[in-house]
Amino acid sequence: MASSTSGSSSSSKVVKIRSSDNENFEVEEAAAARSETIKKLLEDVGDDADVIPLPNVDAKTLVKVMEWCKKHMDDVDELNKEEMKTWDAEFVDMDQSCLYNVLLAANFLNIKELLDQLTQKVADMIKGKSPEEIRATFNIKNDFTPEEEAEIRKQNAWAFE
Amino acid sequence: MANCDAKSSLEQLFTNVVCMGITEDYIPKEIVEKVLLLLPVKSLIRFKCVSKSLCALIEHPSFRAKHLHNSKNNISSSSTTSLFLSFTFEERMAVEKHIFMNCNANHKPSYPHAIAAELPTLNIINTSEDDDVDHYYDKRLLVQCSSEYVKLPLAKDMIRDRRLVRICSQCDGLLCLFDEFGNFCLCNPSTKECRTLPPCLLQPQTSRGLRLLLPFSTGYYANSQGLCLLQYTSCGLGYDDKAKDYKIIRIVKTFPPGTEPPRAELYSLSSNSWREMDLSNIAEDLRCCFLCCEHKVYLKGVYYFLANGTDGKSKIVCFDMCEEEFNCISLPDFHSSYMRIAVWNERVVVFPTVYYGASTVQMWVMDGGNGGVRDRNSCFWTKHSEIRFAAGVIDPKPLLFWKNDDELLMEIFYEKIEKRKLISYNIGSTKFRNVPFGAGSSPHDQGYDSQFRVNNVVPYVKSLVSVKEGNRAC
Repeated sequence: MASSTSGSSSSSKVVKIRSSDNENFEVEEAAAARSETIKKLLEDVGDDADVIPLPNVDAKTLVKVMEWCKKHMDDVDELNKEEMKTWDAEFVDMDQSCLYNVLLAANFLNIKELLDQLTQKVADMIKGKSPEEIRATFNIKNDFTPEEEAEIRKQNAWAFE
Repeated sequence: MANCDAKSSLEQLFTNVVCMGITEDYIPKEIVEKVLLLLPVKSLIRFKCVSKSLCALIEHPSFRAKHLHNSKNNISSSSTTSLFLSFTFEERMAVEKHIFMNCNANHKPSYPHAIAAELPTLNIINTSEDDDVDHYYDKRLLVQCSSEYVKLPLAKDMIRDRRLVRICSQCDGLLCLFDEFGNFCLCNPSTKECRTLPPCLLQPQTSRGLRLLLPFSTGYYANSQGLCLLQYTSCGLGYDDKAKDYKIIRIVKTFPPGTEPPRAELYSLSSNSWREMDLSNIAEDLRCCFLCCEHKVYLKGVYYFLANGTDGKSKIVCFDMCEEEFNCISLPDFHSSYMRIAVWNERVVVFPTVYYGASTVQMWVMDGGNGGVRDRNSCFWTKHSEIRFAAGVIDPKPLLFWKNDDELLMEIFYEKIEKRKLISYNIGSTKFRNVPFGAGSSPHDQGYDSQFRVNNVVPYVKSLVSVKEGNRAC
């Protein structure tokens, strides 16, 4: 698990990154540089970089994120667009806690395209939910009085059809 | 309750939403915002019931503006183009074209969707021409699309009196509608809001009984000298980016030409009132012209109204929503009896047709003059192309461009099956494709009865923009 560089061409440069739970990973630089945060760090430290610590991302999440980065390392040509779309759709299809962890990691690592895909996935997951389900999912307290809630529901009854 | 709090910044509202829940797994504000902005209008309206802070956020004007901005971006990158179609219904014996949507929802004709408080929408899928070559042959010539009805939130008295209602224009998801008696309303089909506007100022001044209203934009009346005059109006809804206000410009013109000077009035949502506008600088230009409400486009804050000249010389009246200025742009002498106007690659284009029943349409593009509002004299027109139709196709009517302006949606009359139908023309490849809208078993005889004509096509933008916006303090 800790090594993900096998099989890649010898010319591609490898960088070391460390998860919050102190697991080290070797990743191709082109893949790791999909993260603006890592890219910036690499530029700052130059070739002296030993291991880049990522204190906000645990190993399990980092594996997931780097899986995406590896897949999106190169520009996609027109022919593979459809295939990539399918792959992406399968990638974001994960359980809720995992999704949130990857979402937070993508935000911290500043990987815009992945963040876009994940936020779209969350939006798709919640758009059909009822207010009760939203409260339960996000642990939000209902601060309306029953009368207030009844009134606002009445005004917008069509949105509940 | 739950009205937006003018004192709260959008930032603060997001913080409130984030702090309300998610105590264990903190989710950054910018992610919450990103997700909320991706949600459809209907979900957001429903989620107003979740909590006060979420409600306040969803109702905040800045959130609405961001959501609109997001939706507009999504529209340009989306694989689907959604449009509202409205039709006229021409009775064989009737002189006047009329009826578009009737508020009586039970009275539907056997042919597509012309008379209903519900409006048909057309969703066209942005596939390229060769996407479907693997399928059976005909499919290659088809644009994939679907159609559904959307119920419009109309003013109560329009529904009660079963008035005829016409779509005037669309801006940021708001529709401007008016009925046969000249009453205006603004509605947002996505939020189901509707607002009746105060009466217009420029009604024909005449003694009662002498005025005969024809549906919509025209009406006969006798002036003080006893002359029988015909009134035409044209109007458009737009947005003033500086004042952050929605406005409707309405131009009134009488016929025969020269009897009375053209007049104009402007409605502003923030003041909820009409005021008369000075168009004396273009009055002489408009002397021999008449306006038609569906012949107009809106581009970068400017309305362009096509004014057909009775002397064969057509012009374009433009009005800047922000500066509130009129100007008039000349057109080349097309010797055209009929013309359409559209926006293509952020430029105004016109389609002159030499005579009714023609089977070619020219496309002319306007350049220069900074859109013509300030500098009418440096606008120039270039012939871009001539669209030629197959034998048996007449009355081509360009409607609008879609799919990044590569494709032109048109209505044609197809003599072989004696029906009108929608087609799409690719400007680059000059290929035509069928847009399967209306009844018919095979792709080639899909279409609708020739009594129906598309009158107006406007984009269906799903936004949170409120018709009450002007009344809000924040």
